[in-house]
Amino acid sequence: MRYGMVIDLERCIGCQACTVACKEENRTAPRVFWNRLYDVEVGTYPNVKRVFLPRPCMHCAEAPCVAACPTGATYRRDDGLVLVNAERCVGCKACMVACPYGARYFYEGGATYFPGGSYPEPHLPHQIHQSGTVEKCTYCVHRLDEGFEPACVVACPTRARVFGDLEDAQSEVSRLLRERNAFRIFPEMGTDPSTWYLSRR
Amino acid sequence: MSKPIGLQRAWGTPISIEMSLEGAGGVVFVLGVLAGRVGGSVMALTAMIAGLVCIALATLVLIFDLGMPLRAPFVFLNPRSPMSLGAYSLLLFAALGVLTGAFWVFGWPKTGLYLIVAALASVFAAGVVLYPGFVLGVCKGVPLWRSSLLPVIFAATAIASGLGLYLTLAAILHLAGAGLAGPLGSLGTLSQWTLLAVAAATLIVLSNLVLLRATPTGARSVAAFVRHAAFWPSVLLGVILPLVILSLAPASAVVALAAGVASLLGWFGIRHLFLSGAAMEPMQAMGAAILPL
Repeated sequence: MRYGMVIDLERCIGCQACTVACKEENRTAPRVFWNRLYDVEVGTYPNVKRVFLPRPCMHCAEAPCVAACPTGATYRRDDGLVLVNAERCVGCKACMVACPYGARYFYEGGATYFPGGSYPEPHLPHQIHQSGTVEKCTYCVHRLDEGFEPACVVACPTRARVFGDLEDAQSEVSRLLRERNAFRIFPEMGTDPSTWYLSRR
Repeated sequence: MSKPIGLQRAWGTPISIEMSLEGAGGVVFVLGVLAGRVGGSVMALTAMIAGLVCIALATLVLIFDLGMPLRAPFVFLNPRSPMSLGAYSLLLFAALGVLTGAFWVFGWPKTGLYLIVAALASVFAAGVVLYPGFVLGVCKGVPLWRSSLLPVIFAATAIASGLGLYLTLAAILHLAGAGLAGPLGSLGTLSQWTLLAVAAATLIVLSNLVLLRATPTGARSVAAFVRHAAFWPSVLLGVILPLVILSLAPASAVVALAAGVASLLGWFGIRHLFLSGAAMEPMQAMGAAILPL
């Protein structure tokens, strides 16, 4: 079992529904983006193209953040999820500098979206964030453990995101990886990410 | 498309101060142990105390830069992490270093047990000097840190700044009273060693920057490094001033003091550049302009 996500860049329209769904689901603070959408201009004028590159955590099999963490707070589960035990995190940020994808954020605490208001107010245990620790996308582990897909996958209006077991040959993600031109970001770094991208080329 | 250069922001000035103090502290402590072996007791104790004070300050800075300072002991929990290995080195060096200093403070015989304790303290001091290179070496998203030369760079810059501190202490002892510094406090010899260390560290850092320019992202990293506000002041203090003034008047205590302070501060600055002047791979840099934060 290895959870993974496939994101079809040809389908992504840059609507930020995934970003908002992630924020709503996980109640992350301002300046903290577990899911981020990069707006990339490819090529040279006049031959240019605008590409949206959603970036959740890559949940790498050879995660540099796991190797860098001095406390063991960052760990990899048997199902491939790379998670952070906030109770053990000291906030040294070694994982942040180790992650080549910029997928980790230091939560300083205190910030809200509305001055004087309380949002993002937590309602569920997974929405409680410990200030002074580092956090990141969990592929919505609380939803997976209940049998649901990650919030960003459900929210995507163009079905650009597909989630499943990369080791199951019959799964939708495995089929897409077989049939389409799939690639990963920074493969040369040897991190073996579980988040894949599809493109026409 | 011209992409903005995004510098890594996770680790800033506190971590570069911590790493610089560790480097200089480890080197000056080992020099103190060597000075003790050739008979310079005042110089030996002064250098050892200076080294331990640097390490104590570095540890305080490190702890207070943590998001959760009270959880600091947790950093010993993952022996596979270079940072944990650095924490082990730091703890063992501090304990054995204090014990080594105690032999001098209390006048205990410097044979047998002392030699073992001092040798072990020096080994862990070397670990403290080297570990930042390995900590940064696992960070794959920063081209400046991907170099296999990184531990060598951190060792060379630590030696240059540590010798600067040692030269400063020797010069102060010379000004306080002739003979206090002992054989390993000879300003002429120390000046030559400092010149050599500064030249070697300059050559190593320069070689790394030249090699890095071979790739587009590497070239962007070098550009970010040399455009950093601290670059030229650091080069002036760490390279130009020591090389010029020590070449002109190597045996003068006042000149040695000035060169020592300049070298110490300049190489602290250059080590700071390796953190604050380190550009990320383009993915993060591109993202900076996308979502309004």
